[in-house]
Amino acid sequence: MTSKAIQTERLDDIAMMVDLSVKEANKVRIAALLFSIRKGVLQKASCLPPENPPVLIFDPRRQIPEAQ
Amino acid sequence: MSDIADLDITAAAAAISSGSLTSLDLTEWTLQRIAMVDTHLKAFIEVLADEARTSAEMADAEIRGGTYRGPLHGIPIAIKALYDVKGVRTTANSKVRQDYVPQTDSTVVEKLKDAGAIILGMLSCHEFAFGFDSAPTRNPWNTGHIPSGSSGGTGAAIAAGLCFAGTGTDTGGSIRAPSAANGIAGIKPTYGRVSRAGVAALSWSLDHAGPMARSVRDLAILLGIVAGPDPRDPHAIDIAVPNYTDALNGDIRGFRLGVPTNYFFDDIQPAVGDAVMGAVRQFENLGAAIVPIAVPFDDRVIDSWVAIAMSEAATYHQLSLRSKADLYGEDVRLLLEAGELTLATTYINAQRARLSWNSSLMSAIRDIDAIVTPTLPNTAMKVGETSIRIGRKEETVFEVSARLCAPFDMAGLPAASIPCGFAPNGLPIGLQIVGKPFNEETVLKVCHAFESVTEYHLRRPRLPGLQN
Repeated sequence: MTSKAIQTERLDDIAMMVDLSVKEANKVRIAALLFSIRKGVLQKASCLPPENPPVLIFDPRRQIPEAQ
Repeated sequence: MSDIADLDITAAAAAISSGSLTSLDLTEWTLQRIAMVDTHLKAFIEVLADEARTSAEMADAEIRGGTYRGPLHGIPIAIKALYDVKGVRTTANSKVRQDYVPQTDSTVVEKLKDAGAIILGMLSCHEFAFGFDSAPTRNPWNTGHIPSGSSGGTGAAIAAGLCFAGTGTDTGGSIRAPSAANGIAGIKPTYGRVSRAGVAALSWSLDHAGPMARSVRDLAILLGIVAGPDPRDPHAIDIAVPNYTDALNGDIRGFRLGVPTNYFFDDIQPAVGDAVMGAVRQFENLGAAIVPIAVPFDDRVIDSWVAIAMSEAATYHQLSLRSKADLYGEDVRLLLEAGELTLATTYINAQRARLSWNSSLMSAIRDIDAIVTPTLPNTAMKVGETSIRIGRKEETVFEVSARLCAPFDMAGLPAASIPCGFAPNGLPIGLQIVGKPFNEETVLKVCHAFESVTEYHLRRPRLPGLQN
């Protein structure tokens, strides 16, 4: 799977969908940051088996057996 | 006056309980020192001088009357401006929360007050804890440098002797990084060990609350007070809290300490590497076995950490980002806007990756007691410096500060930083000790053993505003 940086002029369209006004001066850096993060996350995630679940709520109780 | 500057909580408590010093003596001394020094350091957002004097007088009356609550009774401490303090503006160092005055204490502050601590005031931090430079606070070892962050006010104030201890929060290193940069001790407990109720959230699944102080024994005292379950925080679970000071006997013979062969020693400043390897030799001299370990991390762990932190922070700030966007600082607004635009699949994949890393990490450390690494790859950066090149690549303040700390926020493991040396530029270097889940005892024990045979924690900065 590949990633492409979003064109900065299209950020407004996406932001508008969620009623967000992105500061003009931030657009280039936001586009670069989103591209870089998605790429890094995908590189790791694509190595994981599809059944590997997320930890959407980090539950400290899962850690207890390891402490003993 | 210089004698008090050398005291930690343990020594100050002994002086109070023996009657050689009063809480009011300590409080007046720290208030005077704040007045002289803090115009240069800007560690405090607000000093609660009158309230502190009143509390100190009450503590002295109680102690004279025979009611001594323990080692924190009458000790002046200060609170990171993220923790609610009843009736006091708790701004998170943000214009967004300029007028926020909580009606109740955060659980940690409530416990500290119950233990008899004197609250001196609110400490500055990076806005909403989302960054590492903590402007406008300066590093007491060299005011041309940042105190790191996000708990930079806490780090600077403790190092400068403006309070005996303080509170921090740690989502990607915000307790440990400023502890390292300011030459003090700090511990991020296991996720779930300390309640975050009444503490402004940055990222729910990564946030930790914990103490910062001048010595490891002080950390043990403070952690024993603030740890424990809390019905106000569903993640603060009911697991026994040991007496952490009991473990501090300096004996780590037979301990197996893991030293990573990858990631944690890549691209670090030579002085940092030398100091940390010097500490490893000290541990060996103390009878610990040094075990090389391969850890599962690479640069992508930081991408996943940023994806999680940004997405959760953007959710917390969703309403105010629409109604008060102009009140946020430039850097924080950028991260929140990026968090709003992060794909749900990126966030979920980052959480999947997190579980995979954590599982591999637990396997890698199964047979060891603690991990030893540098806390930061570098000493504190200069004020205004936005990036740094160490080895392979140019990194922002944000990236370089999170690189060695954030993996243990992802894993939720207990991790402390203590001073282990000074670079040729005179700035402190931090040593990171990481333990197994809910085993802060071992982390503190290892840190204390190192502290017992070194003197880095006893050095004090020459402060602007003081003739020292």
